[in-house]
Amino acid sequence: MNTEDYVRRRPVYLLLDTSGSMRGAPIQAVQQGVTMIHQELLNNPHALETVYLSVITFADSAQQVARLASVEDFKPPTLRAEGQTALGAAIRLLGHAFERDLIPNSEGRKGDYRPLVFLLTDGAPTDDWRPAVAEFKAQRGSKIGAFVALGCGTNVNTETLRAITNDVLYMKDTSPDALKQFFRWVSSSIQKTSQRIETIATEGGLESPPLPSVMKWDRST
Amino acid sequence: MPPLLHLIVDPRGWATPPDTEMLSALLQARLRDLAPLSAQVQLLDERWAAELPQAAAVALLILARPLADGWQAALQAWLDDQHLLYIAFFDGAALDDLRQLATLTAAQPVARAPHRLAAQTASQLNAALTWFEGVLKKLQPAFLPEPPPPPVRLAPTRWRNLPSNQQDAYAYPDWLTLSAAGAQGYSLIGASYRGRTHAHQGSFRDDAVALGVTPHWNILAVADGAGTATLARIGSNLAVTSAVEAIRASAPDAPTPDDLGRAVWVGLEAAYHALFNFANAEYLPVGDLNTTLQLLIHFPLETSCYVGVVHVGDGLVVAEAVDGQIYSLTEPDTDPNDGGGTLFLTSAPLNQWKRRAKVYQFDERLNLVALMTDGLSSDLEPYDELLQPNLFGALRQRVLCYPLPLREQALLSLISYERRGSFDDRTLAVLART
Repeated sequence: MNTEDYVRRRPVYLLLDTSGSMRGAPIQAVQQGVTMIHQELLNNPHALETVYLSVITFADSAQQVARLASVEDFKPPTLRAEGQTALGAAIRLLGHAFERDLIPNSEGRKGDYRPLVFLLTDGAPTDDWRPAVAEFKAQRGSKIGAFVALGCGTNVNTETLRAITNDVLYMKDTSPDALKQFFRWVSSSIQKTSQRIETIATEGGLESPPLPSVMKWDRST
Repeated sequence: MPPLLHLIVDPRGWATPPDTEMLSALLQARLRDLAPLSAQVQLLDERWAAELPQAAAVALLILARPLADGWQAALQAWLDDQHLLYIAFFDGAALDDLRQLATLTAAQPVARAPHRLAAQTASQLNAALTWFEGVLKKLQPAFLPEPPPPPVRLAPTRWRNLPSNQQDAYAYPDWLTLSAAGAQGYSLIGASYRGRTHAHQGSFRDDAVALGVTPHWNILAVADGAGTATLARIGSNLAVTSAVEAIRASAPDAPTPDDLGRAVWVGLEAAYHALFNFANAEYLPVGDLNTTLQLLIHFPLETSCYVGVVHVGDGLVVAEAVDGQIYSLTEPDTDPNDGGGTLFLTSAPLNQWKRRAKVYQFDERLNLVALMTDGLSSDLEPYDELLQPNLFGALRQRVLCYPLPLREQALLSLISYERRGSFDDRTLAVLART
């Protein structure tokens, strides 16, 4: 049957800390992680048809270095680590990206699936992040499929991350291998979530595999 | 280091003497499939045994005349597990030489008696190389290296189509079609198609469809078992079959429009209780049978008709009247709290669903009624623009143009299209004025 060529997209945003403290092996591991996610999604037929990827980096400022694109069209950006940790700017930019990128539900048609967001940071924010987070939560807070924040290393403040989302992961280790495990987990979460077939039940929520041992959930309660 | 191939050709007694370059080219051509080996060719002279290569080598000696004496000691010194010699000969060679050569080479791996060549011609030289190639193949892999394996290439991403386990105690076929001749000259057709997610994983189709006919009523039901429920296929099939069967069994002989609403309740109750009874009997949580249900009873009269309908969960029931007007008989059933939960037959008390039953009165006849699960209805969004050309139009052009026996397959092929991002099972039940 000839149905109109429109797809319910499943947008995935990666918010990556590219501050100076990530220089060297960590940023390389992050770069490889993004490439690995892309490769794995290319090989998953469900993800290939529905997942759309975007990358936002934050250091002295925030930048959407890869605009929301289908897995086929996505080009993993080249990441460089230098500068501060403008987390607030990244959250504000994420809000703008949602406004611009996402197709909302409308009369008689379901829009995009709710976006999945994965945030990775190894330090405390250096900008005034509170107003940005408050504005983001007020505008988009209830319309996100999942927002997972990973804090890694010893300088990270998970209190800050818990102000953004309830789903906070902590990992003491910032070795390339540990980061790789995080990205592998992100990749499988995206793949599992993209395979769910009910249209309504898939509005929210992340279908995630068990956490690798290097990470643990960091919950206030 | 792979061994060297060393060919020694006796230049005596030829009509036209063999060309060493030509022989070398011939040998190289034969080796192309064998391994990355290099070859050299030389003509036989008195010092041949002393000039055998020092590096690991497999040599082939092609003899045409008796050998000059004095080769035995040098050859014996040369032969070992890294230096092998094979012999081919024309009739001019000395039997005594051959006997001695055979004795010396009898202990080497893949030992071969000297190979006799019929006539001293270029084509027989080629036959000698064929024989030698056979020996070399036998030497693989102990002596000669294996050729490199072919490069590994990534297969492009592909959808698998794995059959579901038909040995399962609760197996259902991966696709299903039904049809029946209904009351008042209507016909009923149903088709259910397993979606790509289930096909990729080799799991069961969770959708179900059932049709029923009484002398006055046409009954259709479709259901979508929840992907999160382990026995969803049982739930959906129990719901549609028990609802249709209960309505059929309790249908009055001379029904009035008032009976229609009660009959919808009978079907709803039967489906609801079937799920709880099965769950109780099998000691299962009833959530394992989670399913939606769209149930419709059509009561056609001479120039008008009544339609009783109830729906729980996603999916769509639409009708087209003779004047082409389209009626949506159900609303998309989303959770009012926007919490994202699908509604299932077992997720609320029966009375709540009973209140949803509706009876529509049409003062004209209906051309078409279609019940579908959300695998199909969500592909038809937005409904207003797509229903007319893409559902009713396609049904007329691709299904209803056939006689009844052929319509089942036509309906199945209509709903088995491939569409990007569409993974769910699709089920369509159609009531058509023939």
